[in-house]
Amino acid sequence: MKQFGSPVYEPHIAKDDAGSIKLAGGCCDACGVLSFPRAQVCVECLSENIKILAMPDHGVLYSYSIVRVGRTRDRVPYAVGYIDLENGIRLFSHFSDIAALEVDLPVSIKIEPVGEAEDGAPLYQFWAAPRNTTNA
Amino acid sequence: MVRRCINFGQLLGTQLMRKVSVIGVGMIPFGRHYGKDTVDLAWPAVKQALTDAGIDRSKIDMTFCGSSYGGMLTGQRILTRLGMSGPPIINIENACSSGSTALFEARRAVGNGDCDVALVIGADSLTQFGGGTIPLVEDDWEISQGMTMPALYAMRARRYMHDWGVTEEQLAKVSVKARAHGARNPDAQYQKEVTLEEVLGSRPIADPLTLLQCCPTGDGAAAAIICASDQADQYEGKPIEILASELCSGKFTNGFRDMTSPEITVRGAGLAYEEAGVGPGDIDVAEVHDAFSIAELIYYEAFGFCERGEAVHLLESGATSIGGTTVINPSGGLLSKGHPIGGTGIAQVVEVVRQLRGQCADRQVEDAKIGLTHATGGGAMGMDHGACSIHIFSR
Repeated sequence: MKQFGSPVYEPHIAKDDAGSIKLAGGCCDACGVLSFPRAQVCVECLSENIKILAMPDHGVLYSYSIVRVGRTRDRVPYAVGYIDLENGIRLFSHFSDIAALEVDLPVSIKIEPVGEAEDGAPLYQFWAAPRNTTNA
Repeated sequence: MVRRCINFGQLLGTQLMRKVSVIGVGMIPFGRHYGKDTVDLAWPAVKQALTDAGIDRSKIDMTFCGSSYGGMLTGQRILTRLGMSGPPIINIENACSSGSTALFEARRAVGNGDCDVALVIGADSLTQFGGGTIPLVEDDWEISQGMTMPALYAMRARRYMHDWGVTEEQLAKVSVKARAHGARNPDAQYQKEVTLEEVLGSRPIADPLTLLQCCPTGDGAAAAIICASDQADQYEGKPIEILASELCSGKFTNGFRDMTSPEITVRGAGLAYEEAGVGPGDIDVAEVHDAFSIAELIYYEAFGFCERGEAVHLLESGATSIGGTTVINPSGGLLSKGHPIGGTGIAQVVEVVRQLRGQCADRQVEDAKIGLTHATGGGAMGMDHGACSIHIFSR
C-alpha cells in the first residue's frame, strides 16, 4: 500500500451523519468558527468548547507541487497541495494521481485505515485524488 | 503608490527619540565551511565590523545576535572568543528573519536611548545537517505531513504561473540574473554565471523549481554596528542612516490565502515606506528574500516595484539588473550568495551599506542613495511566513 504523509490518529478522524469516515476538524460552539486540525482554543473568541466537525470530502486544488527532494527520511517523489474545501478550510494534503494534477482541479479526499500504532490506537491515512476517479 | 492592506502593525520607528546609523559592517564569504561551528563562523565577521567602524570593542553597549540553529547562548559564545563578555547580549530566533529582527531590536535600543552603540550579529551553520531541506518544527500539522520550504515556494510558483501565464523559462530567468550578480561578489557562495538551459536542466527539487532555483545549503555570518546618528562622526566608518525598521508576524488564517501576494510583506512594505517617507520609486537598490526564484518575482510586486502580474516584464526589462533603475539583489541574493538562515538579514545590510557607500566595485549600483533590505521566512501553517523584517537605509 502506498503511504501518503504521516499516519494520523483517531482524533483527526470523525464519522459524518451518514456514518462514513471523514477528517475531523472543529467548530467553535460559541462563535461557529471552523478549524482544521480541530483547535484546542478558538482563534476568534478564545472559547475552549470546540465541537468535532466532519470535514467535507470535496474541494478544489489551489496549488500543488511534486516534491523530489524532501527531508532526508522522506520517500520521494510525492505530490502535495492545498485544497480549498467546500466549507472554506484550506487543507494541506498528499495526492495519489501525480500526473493528473492541475490548478483549480476538483478533488476528493480519501481516508483509509493503515493498521495500529504501538499502543494499539488505530491509524489512518488520507490523501486526495481528482474527483470522479477511483485510483488511489 | 504603495498598496496598503489593513494595518495590523504600528509605525514603531516614528516613536524613537533619535536617529540611528550603521557605522560598521562585516561578513565572511558564504559557503560550505565544513567543520566550523556557528561561533567559528561569526567571530571574524564581528571583528571585521569593528575594524570597519574604527571603534574599540569596549564601546559596544549591547549585542543582539540572530540565529536559528546556533544553539543556546550563541551570542555569548561568539563574543567570548573576542574578549567582549560582560555587557548585555540578547539572543534572537525568528527563522529567516532572525538577523534582521536583531537589527530591529538593536535600532530600537539605540533609538530609544537605552544605549549609544549596539552590535548586531546574524549567523548560522547549515552544513551541520548534512543535506536535504532545512529542518522545521514538526509539531506544525502541515510540516508533520510533509511540507517543506521548497514545496511551499513551488506551490506559490505553480499558482503564480497559472494566474499570470508565466512559463518555466521565465521563472528560471530569475536565477540567471541572480547568478550573474553573484559572479561579481567575492562573498557569494556561487560566483559562476549560469545559462537558462543550465537552470532548467538542473535537478528537479519541487516542481516547477529546479536546483538552481533554490538557495543553496551553506554557512555564513555577518555583523553590523549601529550608533546614534549624532555620534557617528566619532568613528571612522562612513555612516548610513536607518530610515525605517519594521517587523511583522504573519496573519493566521485556516482558509483561503492568495499565495501569489504574501500579505506579510505587502503590509511590512507599506509600513516601512511610510516610516521612511519614501516610495518604491525612490529605492535605488534592494536586497529581497529570494530564497527561491518565484520569491523574487512575487516581491517585486509586494514592494510595488511593479504592478501585480508585471514582475516577469520588469525582470526582462533589465530594470532590476545591475545597470537598471531599481537594482534587486546585486549581491546575487539568497540564490547566489547563499542563505545561512540567521546570517541572511545582516548580510543584506552589509551589501546595502557597501552599495550606499560606493564600495561594491564592479557590482556597484551607480549613485545609489536609498537601499532596502527584506528578510522573511519560516514555514508555519496558516501564514505566508512567520516573520518579516524590512529596513530602509539612506546615505
